[in-house]
Amino acid sequence: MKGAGIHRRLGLLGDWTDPVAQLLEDLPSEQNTEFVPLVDPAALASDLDGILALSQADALAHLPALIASGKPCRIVLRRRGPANATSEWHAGLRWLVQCLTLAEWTNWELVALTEEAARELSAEFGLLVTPLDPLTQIQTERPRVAISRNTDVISFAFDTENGGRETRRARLSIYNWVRLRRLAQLFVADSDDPELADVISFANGTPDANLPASPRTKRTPVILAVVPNGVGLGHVTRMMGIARALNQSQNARVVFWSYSRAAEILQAAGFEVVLRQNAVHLRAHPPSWRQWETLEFARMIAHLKADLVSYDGGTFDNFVIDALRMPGCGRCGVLWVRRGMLRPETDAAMLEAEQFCDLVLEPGDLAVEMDKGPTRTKQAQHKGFTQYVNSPPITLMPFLPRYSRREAKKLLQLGWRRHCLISLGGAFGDWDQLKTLISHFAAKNGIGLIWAQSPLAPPPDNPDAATSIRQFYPVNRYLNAFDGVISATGYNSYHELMLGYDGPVLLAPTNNVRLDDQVARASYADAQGWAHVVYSDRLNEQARIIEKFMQQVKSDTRFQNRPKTPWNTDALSKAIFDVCARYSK
Amino acid sequence: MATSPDPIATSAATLRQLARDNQEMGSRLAHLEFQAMMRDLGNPNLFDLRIDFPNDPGPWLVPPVLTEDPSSQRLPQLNVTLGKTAWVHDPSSLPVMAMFVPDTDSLTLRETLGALLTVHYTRPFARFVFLCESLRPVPFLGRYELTYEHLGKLPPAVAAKRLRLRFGVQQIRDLVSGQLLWRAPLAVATD
Repeated sequence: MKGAGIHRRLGLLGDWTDPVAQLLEDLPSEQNTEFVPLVDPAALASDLDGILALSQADALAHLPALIASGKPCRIVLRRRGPANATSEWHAGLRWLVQCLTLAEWTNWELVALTEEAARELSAEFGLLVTPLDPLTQIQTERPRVAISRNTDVISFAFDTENGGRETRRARLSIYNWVRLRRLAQLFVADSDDPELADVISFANGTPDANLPASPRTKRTPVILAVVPNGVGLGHVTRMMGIARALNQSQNARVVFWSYSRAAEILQAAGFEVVLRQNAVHLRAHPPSWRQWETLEFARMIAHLKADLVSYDGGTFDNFVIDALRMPGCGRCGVLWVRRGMLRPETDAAMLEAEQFCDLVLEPGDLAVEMDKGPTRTKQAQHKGFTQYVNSPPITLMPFLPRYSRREAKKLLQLGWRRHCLISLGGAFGDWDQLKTLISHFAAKNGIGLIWAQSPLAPPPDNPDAATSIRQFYPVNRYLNAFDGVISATGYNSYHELMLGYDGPVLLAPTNNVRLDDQVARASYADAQGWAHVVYSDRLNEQARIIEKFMQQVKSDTRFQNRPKTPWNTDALSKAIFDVCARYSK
Repeated sequence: MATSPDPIATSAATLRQLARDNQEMGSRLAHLEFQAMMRDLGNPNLFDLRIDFPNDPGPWLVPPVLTEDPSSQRLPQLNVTLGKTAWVHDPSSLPVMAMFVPDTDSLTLRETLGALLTVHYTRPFARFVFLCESLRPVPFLGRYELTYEHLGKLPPAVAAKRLRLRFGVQQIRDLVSGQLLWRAPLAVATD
């Protein structure tokens, strides 16, 4: 059975990372083809409309199975590779020609990558070899990159906006060549390698105005957003903010590939969701799990015809890159949403994932002056073709109307006394002392405590009678119900409170080493006079700070000195849609 | 004369001790987790998160059919977790059963999950893959390290072929009715 929009299924016999296997996707005639990598000769009998053997060696290795399949088969003949491989190449082609002649099999066609190769091979072996249809040349200006068999590292230079020259490096093996040819003009480094020259010539395409172009049917951009299973809801919330901006700007379709158990929130926010479990969730052998993710992620990219894959998180898992290299997945850019404020001791090797990307987006952080993490202090050795964009702080606030105080109190069934919201992370030094102090000073000032329970967490053990527990999301919509907030210092809650709330705020930065540098972020707010902060390692001052905070909640103190940064999403949306446009034509 | 202990013998003894500890502590930890889970299931609002977006929920995405891809036949089977609320010496010896979790009311969900997971705690007989029609039970199931899949509108019997490849699922039952929804063909099940 063929999927929606699929007109034929073409089996690819050979190495699926072969550039030729990848480049077929860009042929105008193959726009509605599903490419099926064949790793098992027995699979040749499956539901395919045809088979393409990627080289004479692949055809020879599985010739009996090819003949038995009864499928129409095209065999790509390659010219010889580097000079020292001439005799093997010649023998291989001779054997294939003899086998085809003896087998009395007629359902085959020999093709070559270029007209020149087709002419030479026809003359050499006395059989008709036709050139594959050429690819349409990419017209955009882009750097020239030399390709060599001898090294996996490509390097190139380009002029920078400030009049300088920058040299970049990347690993060749991470790219699908459909993507690579949109990023670079390719040329062969070794002049005595006709096979590689043919592949590169085929990849660069033909500047023939009469060739049909292969733009995707005009439609709104499609983005497949990978969100990891974070400690809290940070990745999910931030990516929803970006997705909403893209929705509003060009009605983009954003589908979430979610390892977060908060997938119900994504669905409720109006997005399509694919729920996944990671290898740790399943206690699965990571390479086995990765094989599943690669294949199913690739199927989803091809199914959606995604223009962009985005990833919000610290490090890329290889399945994303492996999937993008599969035939049928090349017309897809990569966006890395990478928050700053990493802990200073974070290994800078994580930056090397920049080479996978078209765009690295750093969501702004009000406390950026305090950022001592590697995204601020170090540089990747391999940056590839990536561009960088910084945005103002990203939150869901601009997209969600907030309830009035009256509405919010009514919805949460709160009376008219003063209430303080508690929304804390899981790790904070002596948790019991903090909780005891909060309860004590709240009671002393007649303030009710409302504990916002994370959708991902169980109810807190043994809450005291004065504490009421509520599960609601997004918290931001209900902030007007509260006269003060005690919060962890994750990216989202911090920016929602500092940019969109004027009541007293007490920050309790977590000391979870898996998380960002929340202490630095909180101390910045402390220094600016935007919020009070309790530090887990300063036990002696906690009581004084909490008491002062509760007095401000009681007296309805307002903070007018917090920043007012409007979030203009135009630049962010433009940068993302420019990447989508690169792959839609 | 004092002799230093044989390091190989010491290592073996340490490993035996760790194995004993694992057996003892594993079942104790499972007991604590089971108690926490039952408290969780006693919460009438367990599956009633107030999610408040001023829009309709996102549509269900029809997944591509993986099993049409010949490469899928070569994918390795993945582990199915036993969950934190049960303990057996060798979880991999237990068969894998999928339980279809319909999008039903919170009380029914809490009661049926409680009944199944109580049996699972007292006498584990299978490892479960929970096939969720809605996303509501997912945070709960994940909290206790259980394996789940979101089916949405995909009928369980249609999902069965992929689940057989991915987890070695041998049968699918409905959590609420107990009805058998699908069983692996016998010839395949015994290979």
